[in-house]
Amino acid sequence: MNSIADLSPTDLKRIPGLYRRWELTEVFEAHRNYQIEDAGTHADGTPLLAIFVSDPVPDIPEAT
Amino acid sequence: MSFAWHEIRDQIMHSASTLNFQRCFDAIRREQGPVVPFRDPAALLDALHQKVGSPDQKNLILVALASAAHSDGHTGDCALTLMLLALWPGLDAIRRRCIWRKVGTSDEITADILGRTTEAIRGLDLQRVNWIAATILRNVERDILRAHQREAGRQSLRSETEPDEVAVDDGSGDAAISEAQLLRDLRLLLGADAILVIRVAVEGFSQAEAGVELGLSEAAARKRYQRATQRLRDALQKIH
Repeated sequence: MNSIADLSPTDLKRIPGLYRRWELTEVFEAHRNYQIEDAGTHADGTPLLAIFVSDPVPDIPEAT
Repeated sequence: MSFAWHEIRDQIMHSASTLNFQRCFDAIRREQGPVVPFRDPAALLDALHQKVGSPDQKNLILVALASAAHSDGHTGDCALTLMLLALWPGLDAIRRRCIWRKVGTSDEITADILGRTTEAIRGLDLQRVNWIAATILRNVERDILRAHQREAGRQSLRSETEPDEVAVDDGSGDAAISEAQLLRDLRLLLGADAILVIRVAVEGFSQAEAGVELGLSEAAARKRYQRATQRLRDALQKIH
């Protein structure tokens, strides 16, 4: 897993729309980096999130 | 290198959807009150492009963006990008009209529009301009057409004069010298109206604009321009 320091803000592109926290699992794909940002609240008070995603990254095997 | 107009917009839109751009947008929101209600660039552009909504409020947003575009660094670039996207429908219409008027090739027109718009945004005097979008779009189109008319005027002057027919070769290819000579020759024929004819017929200003420069009302400028061009026609008929 990459830490935030590895990610350049210019490499992360916004996914259109705003999402609720429990919807994130529907959005996430393997081999991509994500940045989740607070995007206010829905009319019903639910917090909303903006998602930024990177292009697919190659899978790096973890050291044993 | 050639870029299609829509590809340029796609590129700009892409750059406006990155996290880095969002960070710069947040910085603008902290500084510029009218932008605060918009959480992201898409929301801001939606509000500006909607047919409904107060023109005054939209203008306040554009004033805020233009002000931010005058700053250096990423924030200024971010505001400039947002301004270009905000004005895109208007720029698109200018481009279509320029192509229809055959002002240049598609690539030339694209480069001219984007270059002049960027210059206009960066150089906008916010103390003097009230309606940001209308002023920028009108000035960009006017300047492109003026430049085209000036170039076309020079080309036609060159093509109608055979080198052998020129009595004295002063060796100048300099446009400024040619214009000074033209003004001097026209003054002999038209007197004070020579400058009016040059402003309208050669440089592409409207009669009203030229009139303002010369301290004339639009009606007076029109009448004097008609009288001057009639004198020119009479003089040409005598030559032929």
